[in-house]
Amino acid sequence: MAIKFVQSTTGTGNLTLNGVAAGNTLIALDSTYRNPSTGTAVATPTDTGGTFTGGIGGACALLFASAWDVGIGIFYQANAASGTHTVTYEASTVRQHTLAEFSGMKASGILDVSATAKTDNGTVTSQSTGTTGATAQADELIIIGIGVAHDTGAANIGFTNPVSGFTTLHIISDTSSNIGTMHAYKIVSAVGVQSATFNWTDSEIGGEHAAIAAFRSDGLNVQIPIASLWPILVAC
Amino acid sequence: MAAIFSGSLTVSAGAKTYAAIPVNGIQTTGQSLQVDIVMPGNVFPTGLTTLILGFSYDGGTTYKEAEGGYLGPILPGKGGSIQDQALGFLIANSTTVTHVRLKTNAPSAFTLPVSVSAVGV
Repeated sequence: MAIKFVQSTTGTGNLTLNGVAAGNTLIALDSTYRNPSTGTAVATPTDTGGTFTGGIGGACALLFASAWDVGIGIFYQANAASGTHTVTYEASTVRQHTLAEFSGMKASGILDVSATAKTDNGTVTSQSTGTTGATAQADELIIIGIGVAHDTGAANIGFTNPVSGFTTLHIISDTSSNIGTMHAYKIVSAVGVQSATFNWTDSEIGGEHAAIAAFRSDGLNVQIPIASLWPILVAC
Repeated sequence: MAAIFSGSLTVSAGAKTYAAIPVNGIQTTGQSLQVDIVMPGNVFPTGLTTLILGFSYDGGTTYKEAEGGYLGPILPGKGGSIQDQALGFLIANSTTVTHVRLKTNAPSAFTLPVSVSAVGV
């Protein structure tokens, strides 16, 4: 079965998806701006309907002389139970979340490769996710996310939307009273390394933290040319 | 972007379901639709307020729901301001939404300025 986006919800509080189909994969993303004492990396969210794994993202980016940090975390739950999933994210000062459901994924061992990159106390207008190793199979789901925190900030930092080749799940362009956020996905059909770059126009000192992860499909998206079946059909 | 609703909701204590809003034609066939609610963060009462966005693909008979929980009071964040709160739902391009419905469940009554909008993606 080919990978397929089913539904997603976004927001600032905890998030719930009802009607999740059994066996599907849930992806949770957390962009967060907080006191570094909260923890080095973004904490794994809890789910009333299952368990998330991941923490793809690693250590958050620092800003304001390390008085604050900004982070991204990508978490996943394969072979989800059917029904309602209420996901509670790490408590932080400012945050943006996405909870998305995909079908056509492996039931276990879905994380293939990942990468993360950040800028501490820098003045930049782009941030790479880093580059993964080569994916193990052709059909995979690629998830990317970023958190951007600026000094004064702007009501609209001018994100390039969408990131080339990706479908945006969640975007917040305000860094004045919010956290700059982009969460997105794409479905690929060939093996290879994966990377993405987030771009924006507002240039001011801050911190940026981005991550990318590739997840395996169930491998059932195999299309057999009818011509190759002809000898078998004839033999029958 | 299309505005589905903009105004103030009188949120009562406990659970409340608002009238469904017909949104036929708001989603282009074959295109995904992002529906967003934005609310000021300084109006939420102490305790957990839950907002539920429901989407019907069958004329309002059944609903698929997304839910956001907001633990008040919401404290000031970056720059001393209180972050606007949000809830969104991305409808897959394989479906076509016909109605949108909002539910609330609050610990006490309050007035919630809210805007609900939709944009094709």
